[in-house]
Amino acid sequence: MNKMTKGSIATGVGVALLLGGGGTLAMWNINEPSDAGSIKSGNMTLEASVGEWTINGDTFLSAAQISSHPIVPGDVLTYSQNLKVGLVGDLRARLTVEKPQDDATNFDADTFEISEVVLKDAIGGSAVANPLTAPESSVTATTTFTFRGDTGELPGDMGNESMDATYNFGTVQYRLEQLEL
Amino acid sequence: MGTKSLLKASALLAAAVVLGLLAVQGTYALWNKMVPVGAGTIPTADFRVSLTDLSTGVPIDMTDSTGTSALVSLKPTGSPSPGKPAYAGVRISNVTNAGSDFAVRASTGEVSITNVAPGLSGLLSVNMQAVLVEKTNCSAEDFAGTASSGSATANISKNSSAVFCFQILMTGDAPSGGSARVDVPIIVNQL
Repeated sequence: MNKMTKGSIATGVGVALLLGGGGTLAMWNINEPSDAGSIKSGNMTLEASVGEWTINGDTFLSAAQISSHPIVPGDVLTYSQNLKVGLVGDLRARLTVEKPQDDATNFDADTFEISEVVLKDAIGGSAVANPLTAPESSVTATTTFTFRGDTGELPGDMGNESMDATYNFGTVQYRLEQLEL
Repeated sequence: MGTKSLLKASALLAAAVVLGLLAVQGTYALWNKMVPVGAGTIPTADFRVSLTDLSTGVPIDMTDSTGTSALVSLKPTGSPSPGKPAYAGVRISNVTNAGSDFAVRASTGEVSITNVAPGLSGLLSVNMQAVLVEKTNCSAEDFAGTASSGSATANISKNSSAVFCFQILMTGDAPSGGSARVDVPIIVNQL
């Protein structure tokens, strides 16, 4: 084999290695920045401050105090709490309260009725529409829990079964949920 | 890449995305944020009513921990005879631990008179009266000037009591050794 032939073989192997390594024999190309800037996503924030219970409209208790205030069928409990809501971006979000799960002793969640959340401006007291759209809101959320007075008529006669029970509201949550625009 | 290969690749990619979503239970959800309410723990009240025989002053709960009704054996003021009734009384106390108002209504049910020894039950009748709570015994004056009634009712607010007096009348001569038992159910409902 003369030197010319050996050189050709070596060149061929080199090309084969390029192919094996994913290389190409590319045609010309050119890049130009689009200058489209950067995109930043928004966010939603929800902060709850300490709330207060009102029993039958005239007794005010903290969350700690209500643990020593046994309730009876017919009692109407209202929980008011200031919330800070942040909606950064083109957002629309609804605030709801999730019905507590029955994780307490012999206390059935069906004996409770829970109202929709009512929102008011935390400072002025005017009504605030829900869903929220403002970038920053400071609202007072009020939810009413009614211990049904007709529990004795519920299936399984749950009226008396709810005596001497405890209900843990630690599972109750506010949910701020983005809605489609 | 040919059209056939492109379709295969797309299908494979779609299957991978679906599989990935299923594996992590993902959704194409919008944003949401949750915060706990921190509302504490709420206890429910008991429904505790006590019954006290006026003659002994010893209270017992109207129901036990299983909900079974208690039986209070009242001791009348002697034995009745024609023209001379016997009297007994019971104090009903609303001793609930309810935090809010918790009023109840106590009322007597249908009286049952049964013979323990023959011949007496048909001669007996019972009048009842809700009287002043301060009463410590029942007597003829509690029934003076009032219409005879076979039932009594009282509304009792939280931490308050009511007293029911019973007048046991005999309408004829009792046979020797006669004995009867008088049962008066008391029903208490939340108002």
